[in-house]
Order: sequence, then C-alpha cells, then structure tokens
Amino acid sequence: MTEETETRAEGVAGIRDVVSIRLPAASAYLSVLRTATAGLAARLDFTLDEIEDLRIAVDEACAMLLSEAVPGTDLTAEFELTGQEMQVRVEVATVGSSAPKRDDFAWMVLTALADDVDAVAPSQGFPDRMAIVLRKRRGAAQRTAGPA
Amino acid sequence: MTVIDTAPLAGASASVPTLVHLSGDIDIFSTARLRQRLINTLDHSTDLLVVDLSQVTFCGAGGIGVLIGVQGRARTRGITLALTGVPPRVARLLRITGLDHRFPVMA
Repeated sequence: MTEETETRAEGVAGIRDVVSIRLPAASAYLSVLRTATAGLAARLDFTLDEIEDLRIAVDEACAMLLSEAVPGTDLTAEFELTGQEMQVRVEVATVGSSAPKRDDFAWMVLTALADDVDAVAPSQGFPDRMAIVLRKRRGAAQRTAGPA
Repeated sequence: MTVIDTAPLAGASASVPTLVHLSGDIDIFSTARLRQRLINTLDHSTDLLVVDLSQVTFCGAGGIGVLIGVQGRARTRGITLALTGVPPRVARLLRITGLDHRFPVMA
C-alpha cells in the first residue's frame, strides 16, 4: 500500500480549511466577498498589507469575471486555507467567452498583488465556466518597490 | 460610495480650489456613478479640483481608472485634478500601478 503525501507544507497553525461562498454574479455583492476575504486572511495571521492585497486581488479577479458572467447566475468563491497560504478560486458562468484578458489594467493589478495568478478559460470539459485562481502566501517578498 | 461636493459657486475666484470629498468603497459597483458625479463637478470647478480620499475605505483598479479618466477630461478644460488625504493603501496601489506621479498631491 502506498501512501500519498501532500506536498503543500502545513503551517504551524495546522489550518486546512476550505470555505465556499456563493453569491449572485453582481457587483453589488463584491463588498461582501471583500469582507469575507479579509476575515479569512486574518485567520491565517496575514499582515494588514497582505490582507489589503488579497482584498484588492479578489476584487479585481471578480471584476474581470463579472464582465463576462451571464446575468442572473452565481459567482462562486472557494477559499483554500493552509497554514501559510490562501488560494482563492473565483468562478462564473459564461457563454462562449474567451479567456480573461491579460492585458487588462485589472489583471496587471491582480498579478502585482497576488503571488500567483492563473486564468482558467472555458475548456473542453467546462465550456461555460470561467475562473481565476490566485494564491498568496504569508510573509512572501513583495514584488513591488519598498515604501517611497 | 458617496460624493460630497463643496465646490464654490460658479464664478468664484479661480485661486480657490474646488474640493470634493469621497467616502466609502470605490469598486465596480460604484465607479460609473462616481465618474458621472466627478464629471458633473467639472462644470462648476475652478481651475484646481482637489479630490479628498481620506474617507475612502476601499479603492481598486477601477477607482484609479476613474480618477485617471476624469483627470484627462479636466485637463481638456484647463482644470488640474489633485488628490488629498490619500490613504496609505490607495497610495500603495498608485505606486504599484506606476501612477503615483500622475496626480499632484496636496498636503
């Protein structure tokens, strides 16, 4: 018998939780998602700057997706919390859209604030779904210049 | 997001800046309304429009986009758009996007 070992390191806190939130795919609900993001990041002891980065990053990801979302459908956000890292996957229903635009101003901000970002375009298996997955680790070096 | 416009009446001295206070969250839910309100303000602004961000609780890329867009419109009318009370988090976003030198900042 072989035993699969999880490659992702577990933090001191030992937190391994998944939190899912489903909201109408409408901009009026983004403030709710930002608040949830901040609360979950605080649970992982992220710094205030890291929490703010995550709030903005999640907001930008949703802003990009909402412009492609089918009205009247839901936006789902799945937060995966491990000791040092939060992964957020936001997803909407689309109709025959292309991938999220990577030359967008929102995309530039998103990639500057998160440690990793992936855009998941509608694909063979899921032709009507578009998602953005972002990750942020606690204590990761900032890519941006230090304080002026 | 709310906009409190304390602009002087039309015809006021051009040496008096027009001050606009923004408060609350500036996100894609509020940007369209904010853009329109700021553009309306240009109609009776002196040649210096100062936007006070001290009560802004959230500002994403969309909010920065509005400020850039309104600044462009202001310029075509000979109005300078400056910022004041920039919260550290907004200042950081401006720095990250390389737009921190686009706006004069008043103390």
